[in-house]
Amino acid sequence: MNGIDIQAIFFDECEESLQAAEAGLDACKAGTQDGETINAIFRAVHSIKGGAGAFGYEALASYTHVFENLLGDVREGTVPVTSDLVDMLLLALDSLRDHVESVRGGTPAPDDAAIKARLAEAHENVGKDGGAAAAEAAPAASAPEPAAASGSSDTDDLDALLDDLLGSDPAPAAAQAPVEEAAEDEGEVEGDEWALYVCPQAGAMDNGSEPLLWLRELVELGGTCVKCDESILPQIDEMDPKEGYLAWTFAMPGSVERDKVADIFDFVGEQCLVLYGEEALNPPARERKVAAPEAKAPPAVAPAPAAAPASAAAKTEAAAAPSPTAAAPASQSIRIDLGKLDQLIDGVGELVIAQAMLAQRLTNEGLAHFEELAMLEGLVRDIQESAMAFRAQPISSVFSRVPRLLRELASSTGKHVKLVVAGETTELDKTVIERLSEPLTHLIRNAVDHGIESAEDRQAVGKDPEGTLTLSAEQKAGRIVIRIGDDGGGINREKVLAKAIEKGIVDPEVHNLSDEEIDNLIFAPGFSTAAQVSSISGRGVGMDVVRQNVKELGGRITIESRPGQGTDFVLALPLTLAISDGMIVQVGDQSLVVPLTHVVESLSPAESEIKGMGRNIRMLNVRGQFLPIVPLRQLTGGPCADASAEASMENGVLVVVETERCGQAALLVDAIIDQRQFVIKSLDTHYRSVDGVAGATILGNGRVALIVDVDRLVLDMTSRRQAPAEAA
Amino acid sequence: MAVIELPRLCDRAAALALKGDLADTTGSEALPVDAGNVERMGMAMLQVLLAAQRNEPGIVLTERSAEFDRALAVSGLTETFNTGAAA
Repeated sequence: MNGIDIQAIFFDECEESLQAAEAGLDACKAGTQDGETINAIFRAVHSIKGGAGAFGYEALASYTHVFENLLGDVREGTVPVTSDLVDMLLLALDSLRDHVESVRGGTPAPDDAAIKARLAEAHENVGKDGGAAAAEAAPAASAPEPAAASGSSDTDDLDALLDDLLGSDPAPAAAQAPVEEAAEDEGEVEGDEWALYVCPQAGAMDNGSEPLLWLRELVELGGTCVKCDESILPQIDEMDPKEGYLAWTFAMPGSVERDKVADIFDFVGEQCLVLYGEEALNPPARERKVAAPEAKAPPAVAPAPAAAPASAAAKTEAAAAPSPTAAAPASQSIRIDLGKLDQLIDGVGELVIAQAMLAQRLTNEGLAHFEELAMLEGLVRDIQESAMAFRAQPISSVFSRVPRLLRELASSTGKHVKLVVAGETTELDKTVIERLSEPLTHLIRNAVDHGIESAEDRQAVGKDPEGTLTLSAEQKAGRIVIRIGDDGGGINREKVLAKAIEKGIVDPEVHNLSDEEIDNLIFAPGFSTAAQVSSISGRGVGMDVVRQNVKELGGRITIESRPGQGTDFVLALPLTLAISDGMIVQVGDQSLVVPLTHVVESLSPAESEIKGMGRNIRMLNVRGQFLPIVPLRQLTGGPCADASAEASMENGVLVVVETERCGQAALLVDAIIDQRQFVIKSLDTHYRSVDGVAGATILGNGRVALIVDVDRLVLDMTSRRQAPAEAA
Repeated sequence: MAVIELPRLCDRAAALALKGDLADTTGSEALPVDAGNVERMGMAMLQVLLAAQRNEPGIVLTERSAEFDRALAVSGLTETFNTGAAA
């Protein structure tokens, strides 16, 4: 682990801390102002401060110090939790997020003078007024005393850890002081020193490696060992000298660069856990490698039967009985570099292909049906699902940014919007989440700017002056469905149509557009009903970009608008971008893949169920519903003459698919070959974008097959056929 | 009482060899250990000595080489071991 890795961890933790603080402040705003909530906010900001100090991010450390001072007052109950205070703390948190982003991006620190002054002023006023009255005025907001509040859950409190490390009592005043000050007070660690944790694992002494030599190098750099952790050292008859039982915490001089220390452990690899800064003060709990002697037979917990004094039995009991002095269980999660996960996903993708190729080869040899192949297929699927699950993240990481967006919109539009969130624990692929942020932001800006009316207009029609934005996510039929709904006035279809005609998007002679078609006009490039271009929306590119973004994610977006009641934008997204299930169909000499999420059913219709409409259109009668027939032969570059279509229709199969904008349609193929997982390879990356083709994959026979972009294909073919038909 | 003399090279192999001797010790008096000849001290031996120190009746260091003391110092264990003459 090098400095860059540790920095990455710091930023990950910053993100978690920011989310925790925001959740806490939201809870405060909703009325939950108990001690644990306040403590959680304090800890989150405190944690960022500790890391910022350790990494030398001065602006961030300075800002968090001021922020934390006020939070300390709140925690001690000297400042009551009022709505105004929470609003200010939320603004302060927004600024903190900006600070973290600037550090992460290497950009100049944001201008925090105004908010910093407000925080400092609030903090200083407490000192002048004396806090007792304020604390009495808001007893519910008072947090427990730091010592009482900490308990086991507070073990990540940097000050507490420092105190523990230095063997002093945690004092409330120390909790307010910066790391350096707290350290200086003890006189053992200089103000600019930083902590280092070294924990050799089993194997650290392999191949002639010697951990004590690393420690010696640390001392030569000026480091001082402040703690040797012997807590998991077992009794001598139970120990294996090859194991690593000891761990050390060093105080390193501020003048020593981290890289210099990292060099010492360059070739150690994963045989030694090395932590820096705040992390060094909060190392993960270590597990005892054998039963600890004190856990052997405490009578009250596990009375040792006289008949079973053998040490093996004692060991078993000791291992089973939790010792009060035993180390806490190790963390149940680990951090993994995303690049490594991507490598795993790629490997799994290749495994899926290799498994398909093996199955194909065996089929060709007449060995298709045997148990081991089915077992392998099941295992590959299990591995694929597990690998995908590693990348899954709750959508709350995107939803959690919305409150800030609404606050910003409230200050720029004057529209105060209440946020209702559901299904925020729904998980989807990290890549999808990352790329979802932009379209979601556009949609929310659009909902507040265009959808939700002003407070006066809402009151005039008997609505709550405060609008409501609803965000929900759920897993449905192998897809993630995200709904962004507002309770505004709904889409003004007359206005939309007029604007579309004015901009030449719609032919003025066409008057038979459905409500759905009119709603979808807002996705047309260059469409905007906003009278003026604003910084929020109305640039005429937002909704077009939204649709494009969603499409690039392999998803689709639909609109459900109710005049006077509001509008819902519904995004249907794939769970993952890498591997999917598909139906392999044969068209001429080509194999194509139809994503299974589109497939409704397949059938071989009787001749009487196919009706012609004009020269170009064939319709399939499916239980009284007529669906356009789209021959896939056109996609493969084959002849599209009616005669050919007629010929293939007699012997072909129709696959009924659900599309985003054209409802259902029937794809005409020669035969259905198989149904299996396929690994999506981008055509854009390897060739270029092709209309009607969503990508490519490698089949079991090693050949490349195109993945059908069902939505685009059906839309193109139906509109292409309608045009001459209408002209005729 | 017999004194256990630590070898010049206190590496992992030496620790494995010495562990048995230290573990099998019985009696009421601390086992004398001579660390006067130690020229290289390793973590494995340090762990064995620490475990032996905890194991009743423990150990007592009769001699300590400079190198041994240095190893204790860098690992923050200078004050951990009992030091004294052999009984």
